Amino acid sequence: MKTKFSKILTLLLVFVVQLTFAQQKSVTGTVTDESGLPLPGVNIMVKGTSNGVQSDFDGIYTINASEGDVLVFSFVGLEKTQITVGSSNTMDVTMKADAAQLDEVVVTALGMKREAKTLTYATQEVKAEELNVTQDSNVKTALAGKVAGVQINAQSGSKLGQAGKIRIRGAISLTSDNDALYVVDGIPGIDPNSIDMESVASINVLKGPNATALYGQRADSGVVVITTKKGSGNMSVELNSSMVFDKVAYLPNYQNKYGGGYEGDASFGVFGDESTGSLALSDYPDMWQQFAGKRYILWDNNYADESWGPRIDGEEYIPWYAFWPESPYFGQTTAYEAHPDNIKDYYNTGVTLKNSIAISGGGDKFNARVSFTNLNQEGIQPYTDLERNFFNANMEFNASEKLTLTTNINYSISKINGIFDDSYGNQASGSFNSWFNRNLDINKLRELKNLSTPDGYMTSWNWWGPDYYAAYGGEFKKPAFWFNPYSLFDRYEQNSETKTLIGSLTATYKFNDNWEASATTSRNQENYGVDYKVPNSVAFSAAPSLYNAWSNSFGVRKSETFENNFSALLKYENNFGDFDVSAFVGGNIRKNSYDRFSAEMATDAKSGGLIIPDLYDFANAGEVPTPETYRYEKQVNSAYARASFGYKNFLYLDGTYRKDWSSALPSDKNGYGYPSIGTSFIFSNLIDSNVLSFGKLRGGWAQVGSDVGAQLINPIYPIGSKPFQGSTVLQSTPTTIVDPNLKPALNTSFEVGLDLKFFNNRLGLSTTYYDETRKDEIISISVPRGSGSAFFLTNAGESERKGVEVTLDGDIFKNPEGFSWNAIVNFARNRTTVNSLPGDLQATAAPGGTSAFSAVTMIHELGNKWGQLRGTGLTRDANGTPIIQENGLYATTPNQYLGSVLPDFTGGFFNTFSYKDISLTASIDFQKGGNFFSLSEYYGQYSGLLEETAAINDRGSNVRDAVEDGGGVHVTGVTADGAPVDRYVDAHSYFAQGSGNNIAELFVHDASYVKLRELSLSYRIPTSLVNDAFKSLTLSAVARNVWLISVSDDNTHNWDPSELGYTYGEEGQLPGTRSYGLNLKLTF
Amino acid sequence: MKKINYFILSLIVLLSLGSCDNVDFGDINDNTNGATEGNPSSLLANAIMNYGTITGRIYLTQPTLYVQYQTQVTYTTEMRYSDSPMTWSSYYLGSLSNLNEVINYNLDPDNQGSTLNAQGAPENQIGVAKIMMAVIAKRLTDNYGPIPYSQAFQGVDNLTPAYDKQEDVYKNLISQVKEARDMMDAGSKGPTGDILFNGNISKWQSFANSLILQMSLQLSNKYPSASGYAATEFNAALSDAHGVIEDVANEPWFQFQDLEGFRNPWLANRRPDYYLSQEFTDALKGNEDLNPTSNSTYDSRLKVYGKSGTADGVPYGYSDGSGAGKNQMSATNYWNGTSPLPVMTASYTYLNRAEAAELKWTSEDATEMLRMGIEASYETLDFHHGTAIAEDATAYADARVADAGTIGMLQVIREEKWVSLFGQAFDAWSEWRRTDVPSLVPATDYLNSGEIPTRLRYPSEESSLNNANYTEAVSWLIPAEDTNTSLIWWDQTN
Repeated sequence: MKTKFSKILTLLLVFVVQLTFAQQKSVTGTVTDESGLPLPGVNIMVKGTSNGVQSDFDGIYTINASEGDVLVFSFVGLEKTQITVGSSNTMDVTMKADAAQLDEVVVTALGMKREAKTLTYATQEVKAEELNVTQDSNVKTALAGKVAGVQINAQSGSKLGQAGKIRIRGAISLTSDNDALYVVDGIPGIDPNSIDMESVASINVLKGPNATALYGQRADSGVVVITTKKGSGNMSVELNSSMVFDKVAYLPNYQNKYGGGYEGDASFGVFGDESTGSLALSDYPDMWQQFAGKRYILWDNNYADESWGPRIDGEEYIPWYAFWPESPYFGQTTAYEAHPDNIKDYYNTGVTLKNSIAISGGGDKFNARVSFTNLNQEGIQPYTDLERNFFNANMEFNASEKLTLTTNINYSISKINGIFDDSYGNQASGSFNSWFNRNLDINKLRELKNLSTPDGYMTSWNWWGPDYYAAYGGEFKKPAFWFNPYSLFDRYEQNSETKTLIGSLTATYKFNDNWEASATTSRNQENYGVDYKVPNSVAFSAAPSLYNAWSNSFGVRKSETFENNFSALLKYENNFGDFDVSAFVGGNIRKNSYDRFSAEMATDAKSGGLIIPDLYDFANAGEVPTPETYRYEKQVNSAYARASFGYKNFLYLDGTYRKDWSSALPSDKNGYGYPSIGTSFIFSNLIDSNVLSFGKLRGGWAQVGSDVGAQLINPIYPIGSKPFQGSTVLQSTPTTIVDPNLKPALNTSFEVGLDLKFFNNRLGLSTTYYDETRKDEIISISVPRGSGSAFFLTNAGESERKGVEVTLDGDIFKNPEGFSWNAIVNFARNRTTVNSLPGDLQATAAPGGTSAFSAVTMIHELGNKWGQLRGTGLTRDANGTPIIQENGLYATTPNQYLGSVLPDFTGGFFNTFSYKDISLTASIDFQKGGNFFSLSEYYGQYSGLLEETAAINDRGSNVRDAVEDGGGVHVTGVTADGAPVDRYVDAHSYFAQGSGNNIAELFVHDASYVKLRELSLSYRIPTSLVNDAFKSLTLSAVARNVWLISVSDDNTHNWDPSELGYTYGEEGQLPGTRSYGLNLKLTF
Repeated sequence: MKKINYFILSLIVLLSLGSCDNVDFGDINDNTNGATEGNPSSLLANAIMNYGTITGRIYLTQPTLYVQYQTQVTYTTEMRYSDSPMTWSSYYLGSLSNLNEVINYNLDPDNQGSTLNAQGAPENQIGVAKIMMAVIAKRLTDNYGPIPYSQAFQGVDNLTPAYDKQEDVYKNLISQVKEARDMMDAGSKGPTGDILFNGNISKWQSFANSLILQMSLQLSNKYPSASGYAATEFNAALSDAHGVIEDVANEPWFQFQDLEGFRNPWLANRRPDYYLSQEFTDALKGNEDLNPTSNSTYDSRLKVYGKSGTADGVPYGYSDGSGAGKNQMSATNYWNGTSPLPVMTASYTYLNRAEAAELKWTSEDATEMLRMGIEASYETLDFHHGTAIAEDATAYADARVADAGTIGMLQVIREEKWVSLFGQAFDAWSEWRRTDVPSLVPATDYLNSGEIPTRLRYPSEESSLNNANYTEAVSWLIPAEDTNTSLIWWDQTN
């Protein structure tokens, strides 16, 4: 290790020395394009040296060179220009458009750089400036709306370190709804969270088998190819600093007319007045005698975590915090008032600080870029924070004319502290949207988080109340269901750390102009660790025999993931007259391993917690947890080849073949091969037109084979976590039956497309149609339990996706001196259907699981769209009219298909406006269709929290008023016998039926939306203003999640369908945020 | 020249691409995270433990609500007969599947030998497994009606097992239990994985006979005649040489341990949601108010069942009930990690004999059997919970025998079953559905069509995964709908 390090140091030293020497005279000039406009960012090198500079924003460059030196000017899309330095110190240069015009180079499968024009399939590249618009901290949301066919399924920004996932072309696999494969500088299998957005130069999205065939099975959800920035030219230092604030912006609509309780106005009693339901005054402890005659919440209504209590009337009552002698408000009544913003005010303003430095430069022999980024984020959820550090180094060393060595090293550490549970029953958003009192003053909760009862228990808004306290004591003196969330999160510790090390070394040897060989070894390692501690102060205040079980406990979990790749490639390129040939053969060995160890005490155990309080040692555990280990290894050997033929730069033919051998498949048949073929025809070369500057027709057919996860074909007989009575081990039969004739799956895809450019490339249109079929996927189908198992691992079924992708981009206005507007519009329509299932199966489990209380389950239905929400629906007559039971509630039918989660189409609209040094970027994304389920509504109605539970009905009364007084919810339908029903139903009964009868249909909504996701306003300070002290200085104001412009009408609570925590929808998740910030970018 | 070399090299690589079908990866894909094969002793132990500890609404608490032992406050949807699909996964997987594998393992000639015998004589392992299968399958069919059984556990050979009619299931179970009883040999080693009777084969044999009494009597509406199938099986079991359970010491009870996975299943449920119903406490206190029985005598078993021997429960069936100060299931004897729970009792056996006698199926004395049934109930509660109520049994039994004189013997026997089956609520629910005793009033604030459930809806996966068979099974219900108020075969009166 030490020697390796010193070698790198030497390399760096050599590189610095190279930069320092060789100077003669100063040559200066302006670089312009053919139309005379200045060209910023042109690379200017003194040929044969490492001496290089870039032109500034005004196209002006200055370089040290001596007479006779050759200056090489290069710029993407323009022809390389060489000029010999003469006696003059001024040299203005005009660069011509490259003859081929579109020699845009993109990185394709296996890291192959290819000219975009030769590609036979759709690919869409996004450049750094389009990606990192708002200093977003992750790759996925940065892609939202920018690539046709990419759907973002992000997580609320409040869930630190969680970036959600993207879907490319919807989904096709019956078993997985996986994120894409992320490949960084040729290293596959990267966790995109470990990538520093500041180092990303570009992202290319490979969508279907036609593009990804050479990556094989791992790419069956698409590939995101990330290229990081490389060094070039003179040394430059880039500093970037940003500060972003997150504020809660998206919450459901709550009611603010009724407070906590079960019994409406009858929830109130008069303290000590038995006629109102209170205990006799003498039954209460001395400290409460002063409350005699005051209004308070009676009995059960006090522990109610629902809002079916009294009408909010502004009159005085005794709040929860007035009961405790240590409270500054002890003995004081307060007005019973609404606190409409109590949820919003619970959350903090999140602050993200990001600072990065990058040093880069290079010459003929070396180039390098080294960067460091530090990111600190304080979450909106109290007591949460994230710290990330990224270190990244890219170096290239041309050891000789023929041998080039490249190395990438990427190391990141991410630490996350705090609790962000995003599912049902979590103590923050889960409580607020499902189980809460609308009348609570959140500031009191924040202020009084350390308040305790005379017995030393934590106090809470949700306690058993003075009647249970006085009448029964014991655990009834403690909180009921919920602690004060501030008290809990302040005490409950959870810390996780992820360390990622990615490294690769590539040696490329160029034998001659035609032959090149290269070998790469890479390693991708992730170490994850999490530990948690529930302190005794929490456990002491818990009531394990009532509702609230917490145990003084702790646990640790650690895992280590490795992926090693060894690959070699032999490439051949040549021209034979009108023909170009390029071909390669190669092979790869991939080894994956995973190893997890955990020892975890249950945090909700009713007994067996730590014996000596807060001594976090397993030897101190009342019930010692059984340590668990889990590990697997997997190896895939691959061989692949590609041959491409070009004719006269306008007709191309591509063929690939890959064969994989996977250790996870049955050993008697673990090899499988698959080909692809494609062609592209640049017809514009045959047409002379002023309008059409480029036109290409492309088409291809490809197959990709897939294997199965490690060890899946070798299920185990699981044993119990401990022996019964110390001597009898418990064991059960495997829950999976494995098909003895398992074979690899095969995707077959057909894709055609048309790429057009008009008016000197100012307007571009790219369209693609695809039809992909996945056959014989290895899936673990659910089987009737009567079979003796739950799952059958077999080759099963066929699914198909078809779709169209359109990208339109245009320089609507183009004037570097004045106003410019560049717009990119993406649109993608996809439809995935389940065409066949094995045997008589009408449906099979879809990825995404089941919501809390099984309200909805993800299911594929034969013949229907992929990924249906299934749950209980309303029973309807032949006309679709709901059937109403005698008691006014809906008759229900279980197992109804309530629509697919996949949208019909998705898209984005990306705009860059600029005027001189000011530019404005706005990114809009949208989707139409798809469905989601909201558990917050399911319980928010049950608990009387949401607006509709206290709305005014069509008789002008509050629905909560008695039906005979004009209240109630208006219900229409028919009886089982077909007689019309038109009546009003008591609000509590009506809104409790959703969860009471587990009716999903009422809470499934259309997931359409239009969203202004990103907005950035930048000012590039002219270098003249700062006396050329810097190369460039840009100041930007950014905003993220700016405006949910529109959602479907039935999405009345404005859930953001692009930020749902689960495939099936939301489950009491943390709220969406809106972010604002400033960014400063300085280069010198 | 050089060029040609590269070309040849490339060709070799290319050719090798398609040439080999397999690579030998050694043991890299072996699953090292658990056992790769079954151990009959451990499979048997888990089958019993899993069945004894499964918990939650579907597997434990619902029948205690349907027969109104308990009522819910605050969260009342089960009490109000919410009609949703109900999983049966835990019966089939980890219990029935294990037992089936124990049988197959013991039948396999390759497995015979000292290693297997050390875990119990194969015939005893098979016998115990078969009896346990019958216990579990009975609960399944009592809950749902038709169930996949004769085609179950065939793995890859039959992934969509057809349902058997309940009549066929019952007859099959009775014959399986008889076969098991007769194949076992009390002189050979009992199964080491038997955590119910610790390998005592004689106890299994008398349990088998008690089980047959219960199963055959459950068919009394279908085979009422003293010479019919049910009475014949009943009599054969009653006169079998292995006897029936008469002694409290021979009763099978689940034993628990205060460790995760081994605890009494009540402990995992939220105690404040459940209270004894006032219907039940009134019945035991002999009060008139909500008492659905004819009893007017204080029953000391309330001291065992309840937190208090005097406090009232909460009236059943209202969405806004409050539990403040009301009686609950005892936290010492039931809602407790280590309290045992009964599988079959002498009391239930005597009460079944009493009912059979009253139906003229046997020539036993119904009055004596009723008295024995009551006394055995008191005795076993004493025995397992260390309470001192047994001395009150005689007086209470006298009072009930007197009641029988006025109200009718059959009704009192059935009411006494309801009271004594408190710890076996699934059995109590089956008895109530068969006899409609005691006269329970459905919940006022109901969520279903307003009747006490007479079965459970099939698990949601059945309609999608096993649709043709599911549809056929539903057609055997009356009405032919998959709801919680359709009638299953032994509950059908036609």
